[in-house]
Amino acid sequence: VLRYILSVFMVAAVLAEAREESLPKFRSLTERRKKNDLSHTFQRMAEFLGGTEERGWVQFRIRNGEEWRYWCLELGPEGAKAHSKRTTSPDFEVVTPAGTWWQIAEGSISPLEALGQGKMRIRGDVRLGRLILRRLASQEGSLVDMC
Amino acid sequence: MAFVDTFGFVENLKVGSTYGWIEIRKDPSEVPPTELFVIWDLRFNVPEDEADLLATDWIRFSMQVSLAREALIGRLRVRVNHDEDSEIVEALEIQAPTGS
Repeated sequence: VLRYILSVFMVAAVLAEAREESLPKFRSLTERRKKNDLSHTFQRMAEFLGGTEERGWVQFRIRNGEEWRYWCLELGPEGAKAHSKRTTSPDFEVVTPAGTWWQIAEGSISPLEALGQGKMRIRGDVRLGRLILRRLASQEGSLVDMC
Repeated sequence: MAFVDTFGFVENLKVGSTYGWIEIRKDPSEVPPTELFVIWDLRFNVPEDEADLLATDWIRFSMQVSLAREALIGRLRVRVNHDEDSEIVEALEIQAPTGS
């Protein structure tokens, strides 16, 4: 399974050079954007994600200047919940600057593109990351479905 | 930009002609326990007449892939240096076991 996941990311990274437009981007999470308020993007993520068979905690560690801020998504069959807090035991974690997160949340760059360009770190169970990308992908970009 | 070190063991390694994905199983206190890193050959997609200028990057790429492979085979602990916001490897070194 891990070899499969790794191959997915390798393919994504290489194709990013040639076909950036084909990498899946998030549908917009920023329609109700408020100035300097990241929280609503995670609320929107939770709304779009809905219930999932997989249970788990996905943490987003966002750097704004020198300050780190944390949000968590609690995944489960009863629906995803967004929390504005830090968990000490995330199953999957995304680390990225606020500027990159806004680009991802607006759907202007793909999370895979950000990863390949060194603008993001991912840790832990990559299956949860793929699940989120699959659920939040806009119609453009089909690479995640090829995986 | 601040560079940080991640310590652990190479659990998986996938290498292509221009990139290498390394999965590190970190020290037991770290949560989540694994993290993906990437080594790029920066000559990728560079015009041919400029590629020679980046020969040192190819050497760095080859060296880091070799070290990661050695660490995987020998189950040796490594130090991965990278930007705190990025999974791109700046430096990778094997931490040789201590003792006889």
